[in-house]
Amino acid sequence: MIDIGFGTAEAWAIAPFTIVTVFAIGILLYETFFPDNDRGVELPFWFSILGLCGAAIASLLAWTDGPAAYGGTFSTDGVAVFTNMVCILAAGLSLMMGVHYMDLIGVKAREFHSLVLFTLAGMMIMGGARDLIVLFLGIEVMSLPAYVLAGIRRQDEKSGEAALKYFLLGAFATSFLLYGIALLYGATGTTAYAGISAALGEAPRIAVLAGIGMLIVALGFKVGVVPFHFWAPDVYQGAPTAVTALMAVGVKAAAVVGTARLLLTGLEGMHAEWSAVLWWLAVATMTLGNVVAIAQNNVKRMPAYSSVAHAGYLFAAIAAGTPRGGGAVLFYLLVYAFMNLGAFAVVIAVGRKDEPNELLSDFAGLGSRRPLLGGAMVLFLLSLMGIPPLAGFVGKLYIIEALVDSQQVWLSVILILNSVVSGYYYLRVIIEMFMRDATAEHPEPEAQPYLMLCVFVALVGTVFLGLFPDLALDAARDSFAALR
Amino acid sequence: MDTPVEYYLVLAAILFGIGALGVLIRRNVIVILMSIELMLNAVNVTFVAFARQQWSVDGQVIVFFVMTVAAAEVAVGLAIVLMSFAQRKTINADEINLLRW
Repeated sequence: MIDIGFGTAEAWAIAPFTIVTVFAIGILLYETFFPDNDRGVELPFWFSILGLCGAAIASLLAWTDGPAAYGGTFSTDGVAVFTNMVCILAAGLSLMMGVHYMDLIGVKAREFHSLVLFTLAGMMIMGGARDLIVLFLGIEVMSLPAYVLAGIRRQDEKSGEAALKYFLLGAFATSFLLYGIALLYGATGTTAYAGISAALGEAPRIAVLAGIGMLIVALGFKVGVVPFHFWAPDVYQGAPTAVTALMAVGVKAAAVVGTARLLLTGLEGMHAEWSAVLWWLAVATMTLGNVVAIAQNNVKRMPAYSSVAHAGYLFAAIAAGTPRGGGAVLFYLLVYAFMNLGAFAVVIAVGRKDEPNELLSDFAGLGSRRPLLGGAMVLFLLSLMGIPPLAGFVGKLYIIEALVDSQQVWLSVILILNSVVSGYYYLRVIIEMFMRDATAEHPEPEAQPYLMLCVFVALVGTVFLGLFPDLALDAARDSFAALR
Repeated sequence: MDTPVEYYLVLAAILFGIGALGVLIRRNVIVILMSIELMLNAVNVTFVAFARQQWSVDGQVIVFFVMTVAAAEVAVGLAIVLMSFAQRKTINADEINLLRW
């Protein structure tokens, strides 16, 4: 039995997501007490940003390499802090994208903001989980608001359908996760990673293998790896774009880090077994994601498959099974947050009320109509493709380095080939923007300062991390090297 | 006379299988939800059986977590089903198919 007291370490450990939760509840209460006081969309936005800053500062202050809080079940080590930062960034940029966009599609800003903050709280719990039950609670706290966010556009049938599909498959995956936890608990007598890792030697092999299998299925669902990816394109297309961006980056980052920590600490002793499974999952995910993305002509469905492909790259880095691989995962998540959120922000900027402009042909002539926006999109796409000197290139480089370092040469070759294939559909968007003339009339868009700020921040991140990756990379590597 | 723990584990595995099958082959969204609940309860039986086998209370405590989360999940899930029903007047999963690859 784990001894759970409450001391300074515990208070610091829960501080980041407590702050986020309090701010989320604050937004809801404001709605309750001042239902008619509609101060527009900016008040909840700045209030949420304040909460995000508070959470970021709290998680930096909570950073410790000492023993984990709550009897070793919840940690505020470097990995957790780095994950918190990526998720806060993802939430912040999604909110920025949503400020005017949610108003445009008729969603109440406060609902959107509070749900995003609740989801973020769950992501933060997942990043620090060192116990299967904490992992489970983190996944649920993250997923329940995410289901609602997918369906936040209540008048829209597509949004409702996305929510329903996401919910049913998510709940299905949850039951697999729990069954896996139950089997590991039965085999090892504990749910804490430290205890599992110590007991793996004598545990009945079949129960452990079945448990690991079920956990990988469930986490694979959340990350969206093939063959558990089929919900992703539907949900990404149906959900409002700002929500899609949060799901494609934040939810995925938390789930990937949860998987990496579980496999690299608790189940380190079964490395040979899970590494083989992850190898095949990664290859299938990269290849199918990229090949199917070629056939898409919807600019939200294409990134959906591209994000499936990126899940494959991340799983490949976990399959390396070394702290180096873990560091590459963290760094790539940060890079991925900037470039992917930037691309989604441009998709929002191209759309207007009742005209989502989501087809590839809607991008025709964007380069001459709005050169700055077009130019930013080119950089995001080139970065997603992995062209130097942008951040995406550096991220992929370090994944490949980690793979070669652990003798997984074939996996790195397949990853490089996949990057080449992905060039086809990313370049197609660029060609559409710069070499085709606009087919329809595009009236002058309204000014959207927050959206442009979001594009700008993402752009700075994408370029900066490409040119000066050292600081973030060292932080990512050190945190996984110190992982116990 | 004590019933061997294996009996409970096999029962739970069968229940879990029935639930999983239900999710995969039934088309009524409400029945799919019930099947998911069946799977979660199968997991609960497994936890309690293991807790009994190891003579520790951890497994029983976990069951409370599972039940609480399951309740929250159903609340959100039924709300989503209601919203979807209001939009299309159907709860048949096969007819909810605007989004297709």
